[in-house]
Amino acid sequence: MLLVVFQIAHDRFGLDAAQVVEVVPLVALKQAHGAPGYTAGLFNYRGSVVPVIDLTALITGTPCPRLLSTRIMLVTYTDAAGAQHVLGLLAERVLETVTCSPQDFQSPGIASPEAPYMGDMLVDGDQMLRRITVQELLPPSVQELLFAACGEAS
Amino acid sequence: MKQRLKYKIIGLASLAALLPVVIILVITSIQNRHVSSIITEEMSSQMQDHLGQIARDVANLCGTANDLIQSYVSHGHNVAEKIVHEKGSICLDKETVTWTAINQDTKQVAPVTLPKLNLGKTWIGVIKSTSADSPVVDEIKTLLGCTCTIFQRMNQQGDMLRVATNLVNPATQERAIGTFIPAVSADGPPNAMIATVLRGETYHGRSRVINTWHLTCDEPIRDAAGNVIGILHVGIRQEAVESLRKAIYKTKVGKDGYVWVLGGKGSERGRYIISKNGERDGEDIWTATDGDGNLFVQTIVNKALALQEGEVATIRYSWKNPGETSSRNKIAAFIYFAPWDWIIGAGMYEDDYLEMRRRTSGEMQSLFVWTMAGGLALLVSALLAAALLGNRIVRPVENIIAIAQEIARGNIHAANRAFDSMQCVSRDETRDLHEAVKEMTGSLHALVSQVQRSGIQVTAASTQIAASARQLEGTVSRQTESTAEVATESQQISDTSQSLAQTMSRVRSATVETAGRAAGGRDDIVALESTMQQLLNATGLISSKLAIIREKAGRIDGIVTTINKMSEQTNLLSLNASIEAEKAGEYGQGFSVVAREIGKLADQTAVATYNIEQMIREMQAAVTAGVMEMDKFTSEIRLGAAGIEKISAELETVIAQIEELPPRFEEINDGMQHQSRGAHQISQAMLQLGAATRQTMESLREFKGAADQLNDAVQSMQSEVARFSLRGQE
Repeated sequence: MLLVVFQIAHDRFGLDAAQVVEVVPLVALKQAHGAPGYTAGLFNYRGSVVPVIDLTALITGTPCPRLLSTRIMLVTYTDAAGAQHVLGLLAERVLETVTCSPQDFQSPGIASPEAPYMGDMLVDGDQMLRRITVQELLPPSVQELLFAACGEAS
Repeated sequence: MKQRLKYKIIGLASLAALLPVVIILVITSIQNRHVSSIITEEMSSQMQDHLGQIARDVANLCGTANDLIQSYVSHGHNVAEKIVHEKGSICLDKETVTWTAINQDTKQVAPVTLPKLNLGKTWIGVIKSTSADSPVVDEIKTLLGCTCTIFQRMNQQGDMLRVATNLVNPATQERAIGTFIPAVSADGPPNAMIATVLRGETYHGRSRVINTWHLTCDEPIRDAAGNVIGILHVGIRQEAVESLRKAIYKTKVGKDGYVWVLGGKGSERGRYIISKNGERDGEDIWTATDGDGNLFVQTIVNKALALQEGEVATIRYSWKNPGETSSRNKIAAFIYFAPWDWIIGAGMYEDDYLEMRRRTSGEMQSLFVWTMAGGLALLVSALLAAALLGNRIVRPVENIIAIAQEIARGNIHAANRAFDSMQCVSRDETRDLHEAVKEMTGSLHALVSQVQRSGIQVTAASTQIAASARQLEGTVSRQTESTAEVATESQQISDTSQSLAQTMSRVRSATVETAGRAAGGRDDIVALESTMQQLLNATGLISSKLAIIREKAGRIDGIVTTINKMSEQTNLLSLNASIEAEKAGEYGQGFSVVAREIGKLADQTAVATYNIEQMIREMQAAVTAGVMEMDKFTSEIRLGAAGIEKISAELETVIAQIEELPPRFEEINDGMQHQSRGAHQISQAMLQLGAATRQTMESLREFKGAADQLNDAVQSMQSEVARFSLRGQE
């Protein structure tokens, strides 16, 4: 399998490439008023309005610095009703991919009930990276809010 | 294929129907033959037994009749004896009488003179006429109806002459007196009756009287001396038992068989005594031959005479009765009835028994025919049932084969439609098969549509990748141009720095000259002034050259920023290409490697541009420092030039100041050298960048190739899948 690697604070994280639709450069985002603090905004992706979540803000509480390597990963998100949506994820240093096999993952041994999206650890050479489970990113209330706000975005 | 399956079912059914029938027919046929032979044998033996039994019965009947007659005759004899006794006794007279004696066998006539025979005291007389009364014999006739004769011994041999009788010669209608029975027959054997009587015994038995046989009782007549002088004979004509004869006529054997009686010995030998309905009675058939020319009568007679009492023999021969056109095979059983010298036979035609045999075998034949007809009916019904059942079994299979052929041709839609239109009525395995094929078709439909959708997705992805590659190619070629431009610019900077350094060394030599002149004398102030002016011009030139360098460095910085943006874009493209390659799965493996390579090249580019940026910064700093120094130097020169007239006195100071200048020039020279080296390094870096870009171009070509290959693979997959039509346009 292929992981798209990015960085939050000084830690490396990975997303399953199968869920990634496309990686696009950071563009000016429309403010999404009333959404939770970690919502970076809305943007027009090929004619449809897509909400963008700031992963750095979600995980560390600090907004993601706007660097050249700061990019938006567009992922497929299936909501509780089973409908598929496109969701943008903002992160730093979205520069490379890592090929690995599902057996390479190890459990970190620490349960994190407040962050259910934190997945298993992958030891990639000297470095370690942690897998993010897209499906667990949004609590139901936020799902409703975001995808209701976007309408039939998919 | 389908034909064969159907025919197999029919063949199986007909074999199942045919086999028992054939076996039954074979068994029936064998049994038929066996039973026929047994029946024939049994019937033949039964018939022989039957014939034998009839012959024996008739013989027994004759025996009974014989006994009855015999006892009757005995009684008659007693009566005769009593009558004779009442009338005295029979004795010879002294007188004689001459008889014309006739031998009853040979009819020879011989005159003989014999003493008169008296009954009591009276001569019996010669009474021929039936109207005249003859003593004793006529009384017996009246009382018992028997024949009664008194014989007189003719000679020593014992020839016996009839002297009184109630027997009438049918030819003359007179009493048959004057005939005699010879003691020895013409053909040899002695007469049994006479022999017995001459021995002094009473004879009970059968004897020939004139031409007919009689059952008799003969008692010797003795004289006073006890010699036999005659015979008192009482008898009943054997054939007179008419009822026996009728009974024999009526005895029916089989369909049209009958009982016959032949004579056994002597003159009666081979003569018909009793024939069929009495038609041929008395006929001599001794020399008669059967259809094959055998003297069968002789055979019968010889065989019969050799038989023990009560024993029965059988014979087969062909026989023709009067009124019949052809001789028929006959079977006869016969027995010898010795008391009457009769050969009693019961014969019947084999036709009768053949008729029975024919009937039996006809029954057997009809049984065979019925069995065969039943078998045929069974076979026909089995064939019909098999054809019907076979059709029922084969039709769903044929339908499914047609559907499978549709699927093979790729018409899944047509197959689905066929399923919708088809109704599977049977409840056997064919229904399961039907269901399974239906499910399979459904799955295939789903699979093909999934593959078609996936194909379209992959096509879209590969098209996107190809577009990205083209875009990237454009970017990289633009980058190549920019790199070439940077190389040119930095070469110019290097050249400018070189010329600057030369100018500086010229300034230095000029300064040294100035110092020398200043030291030489103040007279050369004017020359110094012009030299100063020259120096001022040179510094202006240096300043302008430095400005050019700054401008060039600024342009390089702009280009580097462009390259940086491009490498960012390349990285993004390679990232997206990797993701798309992963999604394309197996087909994407080729270009996922290429995408990774491009990513690495983008990283290298980023590093190279970073280095260039650093160098440009250093160079700009160096140029800025140089310009500041030059500005300072120029102002000092100007100050020096302006104050040259005033500073004649201060020339020493000026000279000292000028002498201080060379180290500064050295400093500037160093800066220039450094600048030159920096520009050269930039040039080298640009060459490296150019090589990296060429590599990128090659990788891109490979990438495009991989994308084309992917596209081809997807196209071929789609054309394969397109064989399966999911909508009914075909």
